[in-house]
Amino acid sequence: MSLPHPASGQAVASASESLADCLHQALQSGQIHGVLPAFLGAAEQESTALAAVRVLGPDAVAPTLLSGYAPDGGDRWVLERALAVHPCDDAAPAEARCLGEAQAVLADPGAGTTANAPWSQAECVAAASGAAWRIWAQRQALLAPLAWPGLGGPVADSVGERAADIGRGLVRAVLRRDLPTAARLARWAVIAQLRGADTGLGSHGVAKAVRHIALCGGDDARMALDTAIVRRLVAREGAS
Amino acid sequence: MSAVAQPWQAAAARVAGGALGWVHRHRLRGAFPSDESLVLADPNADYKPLAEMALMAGLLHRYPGALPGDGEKALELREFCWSQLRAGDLLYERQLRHPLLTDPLEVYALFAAAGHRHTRLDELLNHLLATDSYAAVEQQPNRRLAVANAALLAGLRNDDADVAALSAATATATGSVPTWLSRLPEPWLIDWDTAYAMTHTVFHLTDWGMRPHRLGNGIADYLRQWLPVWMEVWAETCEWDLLAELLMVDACLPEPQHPEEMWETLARAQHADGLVPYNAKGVTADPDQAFRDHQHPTCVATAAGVIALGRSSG
Repeated sequence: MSLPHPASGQAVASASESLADCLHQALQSGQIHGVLPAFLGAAEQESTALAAVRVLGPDAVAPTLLSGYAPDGGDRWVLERALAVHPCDDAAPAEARCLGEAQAVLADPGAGTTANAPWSQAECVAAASGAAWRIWAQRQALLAPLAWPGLGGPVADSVGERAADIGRGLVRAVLRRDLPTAARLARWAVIAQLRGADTGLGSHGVAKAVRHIALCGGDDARMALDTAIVRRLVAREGAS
Repeated sequence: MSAVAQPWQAAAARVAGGALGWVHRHRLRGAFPSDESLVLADPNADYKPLAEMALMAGLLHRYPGALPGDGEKALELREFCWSQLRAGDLLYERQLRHPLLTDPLEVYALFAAAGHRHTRLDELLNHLLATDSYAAVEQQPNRRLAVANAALLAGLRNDDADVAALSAATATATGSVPTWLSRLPEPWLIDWDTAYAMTHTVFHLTDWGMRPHRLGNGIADYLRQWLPVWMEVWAETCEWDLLAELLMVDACLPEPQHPEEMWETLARAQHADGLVPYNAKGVTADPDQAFRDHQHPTCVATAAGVIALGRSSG
């Protein structure tokens, strides 16, 4: 993704936090439609707001994904616009390309929410293959916006195969007080458990860990969105 | 040890051999002052260092294949510690004056297992071990395991029922020894003190790696999953003493993982003279103070290496 000017890094980070907060509030209120158009409409700089949409990846439409709907026309229009203004950069890390590809799938009205986006995912999986649990888990944390039950693909497959390492990475992150990373790995822990894999955290272990993360995590908006997603997935899918 | 050492074995042998050499060279700094009272008042200040040296030496006796060529140093260390305890008289006097204290038995067991017996202490401990009062002394659950295992180690208890009670109590979490570990609790809530308690539960339950299957499958599986995480976390914060304790836990498992990276990390933290520092706060230039500050982690590093190498040598 190319950024509009050198000083925009901080602005994009700030906008990403704002968007995460909007999405979190939408989850809490149940007002799941029109979040992205409203966010874009309220932004001072469209380019920065669209960059934030790209940063969030599939999570930019988290409320509708959680509700089991495909993104509506307004959300898809914003996704398309974000991809047009900040197109996927072939030179970007594979993790960033994965999120962009998944976003492109979600912007496609014919794809629904169950399509795979495996192109750069295969590259991510191959690059992390054989890595020790600590390194591997760190890489999966970057891909947490892909951790949706309907978004399959090689990354989710690899998480199912190394569920114990997701558990290890999650525990390490909590003990290091790196709660944003812990929340991201909790996303994958739920997906692993939905696939019947054992993270080692036991019955209700992910739910308890996420409650702890949410209580200790302060006001980090991305983390709050991640924990809210996990808690709703646990409640909806019966994963624990 | 196999003819071609694994990388972890080479690192563990460097750590343990160097640490043993350092403790052996500096052992006189752990001697009692000449005016020491015949009754030890404060076990932590008075004889904990001696007990730790004795433990290390005792483990070399129990795992003779761990550090080939260092048997003489181990023997000298054990004889030194036993002589400092006046061949067990100080332990006997302390137990006599304070019947419900358990540390005399815990220390004595290390010597008794290597053949140093004190007849009057044996008689006194046999009497006390038969009392409900001694059995019900209030203490941390992992210390209760320490006492139970010490009685076995000293040969004062030797029936299978004791072993079975130890195993069942911790493996099922329904017995009389509800340790933190026995609950297989949330691994992300462990703290520094709890980590130490967990390590000692494993040491005593497995009899320092001699009876690894007393852990039971549940605890063994739990530790295989989470021990790598805890090692990683405390290695990152340079808690070398705790890292050595965790490596010793690994060595006591039914199937140790022998984490080469962690052994190498501990080897890098070790000083050239063999001292293993407690943490990253530095080591004083005063050799007596350095001994007081760092003999514990150096003994633990030795013990961890001795158990790991001893068990892998068959």
